[in-house]
Amino acid sequence: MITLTSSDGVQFDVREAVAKESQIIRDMIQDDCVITNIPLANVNHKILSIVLEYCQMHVDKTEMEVNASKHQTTTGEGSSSVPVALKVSSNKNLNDWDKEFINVDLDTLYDLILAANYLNISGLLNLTTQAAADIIKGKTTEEIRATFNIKNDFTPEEEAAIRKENPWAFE
Amino acid sequence: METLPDDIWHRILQIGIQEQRLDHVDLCSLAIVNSNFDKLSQDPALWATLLFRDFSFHLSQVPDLKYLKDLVKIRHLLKREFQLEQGRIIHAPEFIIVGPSDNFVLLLQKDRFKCDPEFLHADQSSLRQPRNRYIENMMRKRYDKSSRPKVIPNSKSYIPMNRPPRRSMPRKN
Repeated sequence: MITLTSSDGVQFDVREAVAKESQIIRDMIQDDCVITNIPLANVNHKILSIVLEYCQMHVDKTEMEVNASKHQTTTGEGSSSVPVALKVSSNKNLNDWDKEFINVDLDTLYDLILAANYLNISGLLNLTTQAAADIIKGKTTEEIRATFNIKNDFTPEEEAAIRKENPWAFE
Repeated sequence: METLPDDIWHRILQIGIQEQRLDHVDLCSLAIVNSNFDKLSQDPALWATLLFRDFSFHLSQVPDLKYLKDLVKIRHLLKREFQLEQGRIIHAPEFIIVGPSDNFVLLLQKDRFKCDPEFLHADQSSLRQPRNRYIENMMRKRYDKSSRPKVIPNSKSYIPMNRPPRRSMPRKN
């Protein structure tokens, strides 16, 4: 067991496999520079619990798959299509779960991206950045500004000049 | 959300393009949002990724942004004109051939493009067969010496075909 401490001092006990989903923690463990308690200065308990939920789910799923394939080899017989089908269905489940998981408000998504980047969890980082790209997708400039609460720092002349650069995109 | 660091925004755009979430219209919309996004969306790597994704068009070196944007623009215009969905590009030294059924040819120069009208307006069904002949003709036209524009003797660009080989200057004793 490894204890992760969030920036606001809440402690989470997780299995080593779960913590190792994070590249940075994996490196720490490999380099023997960590005993059992890892303080995470950039992640608060709310976000950390969501991140750990993600890691837990993905570790469980992979372990389930490994067990299933082990079971398959020990029983020996059986057509080879069975594990493939099983793998596909569990992947599909996991994708559905991911989709449900990432259905959060913008502030949480923003914190999750930062946390995934800080902890270097590539799966979660891909998932969250794609979700952010989905938010941008198909929006007009004004909608993007409103959604992300971004201030327009162009003068009207500058804005018109940039708009003029790519007129073909807005036809 | 605007407080996300630039490298993360860059990653969002890169992933978005790779995973077919974002396209050129989104990139252009982003450019107008504010100066920071303008800077982010002008990265040639993003446009090169977009081009590769839509055309399987691989550039051995990333050319300048204007060139990339023009390539994306061509795709955009063609898609509207021809409902080009799965475009394919064959890159030859001087022209690019685009099309799901290989039925049109683009002449592409550094920062402008033109479609050969003769080819474009031809009957669609008759295009498949003569495509190779068309390209052959075009190549021949391009590389045939007789059809080259004539140069005026004594002008700077004039090189006589049968000029005697240059000899080294005789040494003075």
